Amino acid sequence: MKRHCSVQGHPSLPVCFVAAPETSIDRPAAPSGANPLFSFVLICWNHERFVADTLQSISSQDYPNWECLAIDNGSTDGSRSLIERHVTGDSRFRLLARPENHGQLAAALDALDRISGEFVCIVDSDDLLFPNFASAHVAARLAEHHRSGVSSGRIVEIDSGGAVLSGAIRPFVNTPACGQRKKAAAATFRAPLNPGTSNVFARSDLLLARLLAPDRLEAPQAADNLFFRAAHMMGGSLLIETPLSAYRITGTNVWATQPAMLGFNRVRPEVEKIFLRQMLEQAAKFVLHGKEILGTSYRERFWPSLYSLTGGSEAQAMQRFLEPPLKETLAAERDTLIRDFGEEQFKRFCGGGA
Amino acid sequence: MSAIGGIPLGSIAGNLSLPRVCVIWRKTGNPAFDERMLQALQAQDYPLAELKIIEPQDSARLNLKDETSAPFVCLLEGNVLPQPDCLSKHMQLHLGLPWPVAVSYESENFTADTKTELLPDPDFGVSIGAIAKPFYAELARTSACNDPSVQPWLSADARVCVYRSAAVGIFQSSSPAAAGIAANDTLLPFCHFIGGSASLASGKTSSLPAIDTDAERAIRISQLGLLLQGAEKLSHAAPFRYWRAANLLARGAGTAEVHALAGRELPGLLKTFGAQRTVNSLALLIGPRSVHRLFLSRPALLSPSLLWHLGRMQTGLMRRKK
Repeated sequence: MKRHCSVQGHPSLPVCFVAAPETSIDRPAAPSGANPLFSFVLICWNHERFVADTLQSISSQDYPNWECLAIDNGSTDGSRSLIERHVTGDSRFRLLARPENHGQLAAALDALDRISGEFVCIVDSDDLLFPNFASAHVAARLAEHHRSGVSSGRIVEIDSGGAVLSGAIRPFVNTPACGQRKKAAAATFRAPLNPGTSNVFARSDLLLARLLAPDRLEAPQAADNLFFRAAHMMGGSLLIETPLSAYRITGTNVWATQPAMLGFNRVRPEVEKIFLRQMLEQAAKFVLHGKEILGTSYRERFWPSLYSLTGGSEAQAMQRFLEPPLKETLAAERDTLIRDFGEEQFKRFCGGGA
Repeated sequence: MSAIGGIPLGSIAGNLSLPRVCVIWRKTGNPAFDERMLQALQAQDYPLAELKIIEPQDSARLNLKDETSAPFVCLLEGNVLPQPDCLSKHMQLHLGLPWPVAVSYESENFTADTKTELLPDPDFGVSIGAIAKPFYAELARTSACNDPSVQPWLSADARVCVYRSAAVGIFQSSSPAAAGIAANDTLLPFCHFIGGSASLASGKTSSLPAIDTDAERAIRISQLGLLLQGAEKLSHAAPFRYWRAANLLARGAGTAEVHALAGRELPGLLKTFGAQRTVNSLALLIGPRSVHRLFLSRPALLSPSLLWHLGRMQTGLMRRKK
């Protein structure tokens, strides 16, 4: 559903809502009185060259009520001292120095108990936020009747020198445009995945999403792979159709080897494997914690949500139900699931793997 | 003033700028025309263009990666003089599209009636200062995006093409034969295949024309050869598209030539696509019986999995015969 939201300061912000699986749950919109606190979590690992610009882009936000937790994730270059220099004397910033790098996801999970904003953005330390990033996201979120799990702006790609490589990329960045409408319609089952710094979450959703985190946290795990999927599953996505941040292609990116091109898969094969493993681990955790996450809507939303977490289509989900660790978890929880949903429904949704 | 979402580039932290474009032009040897071309290039209103002039006697092969580090490369060919806003228009398309493409080109076959929605409102995307609002609207009306998933291969007679250097790099590094190829007639279809294209002053490109000359047949065979040789790198653009493009090129290209090409590239294809997809896709390309013959003539390539898939195909053939 495409609409324009009219909020003071953003008279015509084009937005598009992509529903979560079975959005029957009533999620009240955020309170619209005072400006809610917005938390930036900047996670830096060896980005000495770029992090000053990123910090500057956070400082330049035109939104009045924000805080920033800058995490140095065990950098071995001069990032830490650079961040220290930048944040000293500005009470809106705090620095957390982690001795070792256990990956972006580990740092992001650690940050959740240290921030208090209603809305949260995990910022990559080489990316840039435009001055209206926080204000546009908050404006869009406050104009909602039902609270989305995640809001996501368009993103501009830049190179290491700051030259713009492509502008205003929509979500579904790695899928062909021909099926775009179809994909958006089918997104009740699949999350549109945007590059990291374009997404804003509600902190309460991230605290629930933490239940889906893998047991072993390691370097290539990206926070958005967990947070985006989980948040979309919980409340759907609000897509803001204007560019609000810039994603830097440095040639050393873990996820994107090249600038985005129509229908070109730029993810390294070895990273795709990690992504798939992470997805299966999340799904396995969801089988265990689905009741806590979905609350009263557990019965009607469990299976669509599990399909959403396993990548989208029913056929894909069925195939992934047969892969570890999801297969083992489903087997171990078989009796509980049959008790909760009945044998017929369990067999129908699990397919041949039942 | 160039802007993103209505915000001037200069007021965004991080010193954002427009990308550089390297214009590569090979002199024709006609002093009068060369002089006019030079003037036309100097009159370009895109602020970050650099010019690389190739002397006519220099080698026809150019490794663009070695020639420039600019993220975009413009190849000028033939006797077309670019208008002053030529580069700005191309770059506006590259930067304004919600789906970035690998190449933009100017097509001489202008058919505005097939126009599809393309450029977003300039206030919600990247706008180049040199393109004033009325011209932006005109550009949006007379340009179109060609999706490689719908049309994996295209044939367009384009003299002015602006490529993403990344796409050219993928093509030129896909095989030794592709290294150094820097001519629009080959780069355009391959870059379109890799990451899509956008055409200016044209609503639609023609798909492959019917083969009616030996020269066209030779071009197609050479393109098919490059596609098959570069399987590993080019298949990143999606395997289904790779084989659709191969089928399009093979159509009418001459059975014997296609067999010979496929036979030569079998090890690379097997490595890239695995036994099952290679056997099935080749069966569509040259026919199941020919696939059998091809593999049986190369016993060194036969693995248990390959034999299993060949056997499965054979069983299917026998069933169909019954």
